Amino acid sequence: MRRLKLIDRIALLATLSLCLLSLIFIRSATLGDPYGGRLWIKQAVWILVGFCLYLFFSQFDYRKLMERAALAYLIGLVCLVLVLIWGHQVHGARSWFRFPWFSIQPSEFVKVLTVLILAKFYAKYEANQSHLIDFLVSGILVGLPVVLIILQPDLGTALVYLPLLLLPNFMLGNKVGLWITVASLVLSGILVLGVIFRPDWVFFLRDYQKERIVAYVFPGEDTTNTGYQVYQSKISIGQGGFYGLGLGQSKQAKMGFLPEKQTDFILAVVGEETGFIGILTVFALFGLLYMRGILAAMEAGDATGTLLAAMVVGTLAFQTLFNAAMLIGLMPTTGIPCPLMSYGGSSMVTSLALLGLVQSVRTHRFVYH
Amino acid sequence: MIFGKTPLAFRRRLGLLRVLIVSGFLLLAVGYYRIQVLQGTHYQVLGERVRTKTNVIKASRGLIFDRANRLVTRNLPAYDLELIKDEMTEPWETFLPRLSQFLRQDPEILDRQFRKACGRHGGEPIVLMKNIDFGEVVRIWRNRTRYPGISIDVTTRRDYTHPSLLSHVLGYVGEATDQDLAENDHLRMGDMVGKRGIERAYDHLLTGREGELLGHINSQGQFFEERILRPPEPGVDLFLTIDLELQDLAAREMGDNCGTILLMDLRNGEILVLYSSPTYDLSLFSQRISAQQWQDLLSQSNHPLFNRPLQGLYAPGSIFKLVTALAALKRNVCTPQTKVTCTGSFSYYGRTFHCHDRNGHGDVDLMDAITESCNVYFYHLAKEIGAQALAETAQELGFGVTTGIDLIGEKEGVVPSPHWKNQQLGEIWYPGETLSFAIGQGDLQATPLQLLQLMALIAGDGTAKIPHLIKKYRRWDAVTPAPLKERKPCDIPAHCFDVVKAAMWRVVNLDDGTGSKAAIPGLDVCGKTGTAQLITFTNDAGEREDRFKNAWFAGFAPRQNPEVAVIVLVEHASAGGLNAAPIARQILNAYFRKKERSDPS
Repeated sequence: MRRLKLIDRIALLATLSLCLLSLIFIRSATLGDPYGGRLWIKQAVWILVGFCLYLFFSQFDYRKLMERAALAYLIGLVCLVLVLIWGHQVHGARSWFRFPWFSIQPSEFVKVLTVLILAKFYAKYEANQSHLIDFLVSGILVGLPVVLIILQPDLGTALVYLPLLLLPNFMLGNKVGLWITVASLVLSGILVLGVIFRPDWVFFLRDYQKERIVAYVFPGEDTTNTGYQVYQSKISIGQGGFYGLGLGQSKQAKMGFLPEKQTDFILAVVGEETGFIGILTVFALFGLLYMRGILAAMEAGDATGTLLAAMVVGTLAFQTLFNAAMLIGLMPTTGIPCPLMSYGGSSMVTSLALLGLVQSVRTHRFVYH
Repeated sequence: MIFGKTPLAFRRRLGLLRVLIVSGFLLLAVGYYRIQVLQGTHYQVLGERVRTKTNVIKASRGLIFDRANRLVTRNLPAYDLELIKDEMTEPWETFLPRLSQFLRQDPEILDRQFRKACGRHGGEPIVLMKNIDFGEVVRIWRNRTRYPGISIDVTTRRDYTHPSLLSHVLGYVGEATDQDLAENDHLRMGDMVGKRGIERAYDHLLTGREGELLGHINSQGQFFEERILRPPEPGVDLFLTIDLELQDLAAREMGDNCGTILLMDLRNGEILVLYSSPTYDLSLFSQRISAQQWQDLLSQSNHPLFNRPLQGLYAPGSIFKLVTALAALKRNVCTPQTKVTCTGSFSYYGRTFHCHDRNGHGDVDLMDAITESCNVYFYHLAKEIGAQALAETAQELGFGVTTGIDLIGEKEGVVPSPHWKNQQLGEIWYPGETLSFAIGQGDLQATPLQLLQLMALIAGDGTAKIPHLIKKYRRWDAVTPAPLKERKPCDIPAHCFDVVKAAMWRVVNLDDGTGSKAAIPGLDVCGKTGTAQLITFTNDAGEREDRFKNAWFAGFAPRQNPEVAVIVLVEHASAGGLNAAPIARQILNAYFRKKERSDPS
């Protein structure tokens, strides 16, 4: 394997470090839990699986992967339809295939397939800019899985697809198309956040309509409950202080006040146990990883590679920032996990596979090979 | 090796993306810095507040003993059925029918208890049923695995060794009402407070002080105790002045009649007997009283909950003649030798007032008038004294104000006067009312306790102790006697009392005295009977007939160095000398015999 040498070692190291931190904090968060004590072992298995995929993708030519993208995308869509019928319901959302030892969340894997089909679609724009009409097509390509995911309903995961819609046009679009899309997205974003955060500001909806929207967005829980979650998460992060309470010493998580401590709120455990220092370290690792991703995009052998890497970085960074902002109440709690850190096999394997694609772009950056 | 051809536009926009991501992380780092470093202490305090909780350690309620140190009120374990929501394995909707069938309890009652506590944390127990009996506890405990979530909590309940003998003295406890909660900051929902009697009057002493237990709670509300912040202080034990044997005798003597018996030690104001008939069963309140039982108690026509000695307002009848006599003697309206001829009736402002002996008593002086209870004599006195002056003397002797006994709910009674009638009723005073007033009828209303106080004042030549029911307190092991309180002395010369006392001696000890049935050989009992008309009917023959009368006997003994005063009231009887005096005799006899036994000298 000659290409193994071409792998971006810094990105690999950052990825490995984050995975290791994920294991440490999942172990620490579930310490003493009657049911969650073995979650970190399960997570370790998922990380191994993810890394196999990571290495495989990094060695595989992404251009060859494109050839099967359409079929894979269709299979992904079929999975999303099937999960609506046979899926297992958790917290009011039907988004899991349940197997004897584990569960799989197809909405995560379809992310990879959507990235591939978009990259394939935009491959023709090697040097020239795309038109507004192409934005419509990519809108459909992203829209199909998003609609199916919203039907589950799982707004958080659907929201992660937003960068996939935005980025190709941002990267390749002509000026007019660019601004129209940006403007419309900003508007719809404000609207969505407005309904969730400040229902009283949205004057054209009646109260019960707002309640329905909020109830639909947060199935199985009312808004006061999500307020409670953020309140507890802020206490958790806040009392960590600069240096933290020490590994395994988190009080909020131990006494059960911090919700979803090993999944969506894992960064709050990091903040409580290792303080601002720990948070900065995690941010630095993520920042480094994404900067290396952008570098890969810049040095890619073709526009497809650039777009592929940019989309992966865009969606993962969006997820990370949204998750971190959610914990301190800057974003609504919509169930977006932190990539590479939160407990969850599907999310972990998907994130590693996406990063594997970036490595593939990097190892295949020389045109003639 | 050549680099791939990345269009320039790509590079620029990729740079933009990089800036976006980096500034995103920087912005968030500032956000985290603000919360963790700048507001760190604030969140630490907040977190501590969320997780710590102080729980209450209940103080045990004080015990109550009688004067001979016999336990009359104690605390027994009680069993409450609780539900812990977190341990339930099925929804309440399906659990409720199963549970109500198992407990043989109305599902609506269980449901109401459940809904009342619905807002609480899942780990905090909800009390579904209170005071279940022990057999039921065993049955529930054996089957508890079939009903996950239920549990038994051990608390205490009040138990009374003499549940109907001392009901009006002891009273009972009950759950604090909203009003109680509003008045007392220390009370919490579900706390027990005294509702009546000693339990209420001395609630502040009996309750003790709660302790505090510091601990942590988890998000389910489960409590993990850490250390005791303040140990609880048990309630003060109380020792009654009541003599159980005499109280028991009083109950037997009274039988099924309505009425009241009071016996007070004149030397210190200790109430030895306070019996109000009919009584009620305190054990109803010790267990859980049902709405039906409570309604029954309230709706009984003879009002068992009513504490007659304190709250019963009666016309004192002839006993009040003693007050009239004192008023006359004080104002020198008459001397003991002043004679009046009783013809059996008395005309005043065109109305005829009768003596109870229609044939008249003939020539009577003050002694005779009291001994034979001649109305006409006192009509004459009343005419001379006047209503306003009579009212003043009555007030001097404690009518119209509470006696200050250590129970709550004592009534003041009414002393009528022209001024009072004008103020309260806005009516004018008819001259005839003065005559009714003088013989203890009309608007005059007094409690048996006020008459007891009158006896004490006569026996003590105008001085008396304030009656009380508590002999001593015991906090931890230190015993403190209850303070003796003296009533303000009356401004009536002692020779007036001597005349009245002599007359009262004759009432009991002369053969033709109205109270001769209270006489005890070898003991100088002084007393006065009274027969108060309640309602006067006109019968078919056109004669006036008194159908409802209250029989009174008030007295003290012995004449020299008086020790005890007694009041007997029998409602709806025929005459004081016939119905009340014999009971007084029994009580006094028992008291002095008992005293002889314990103190042969």
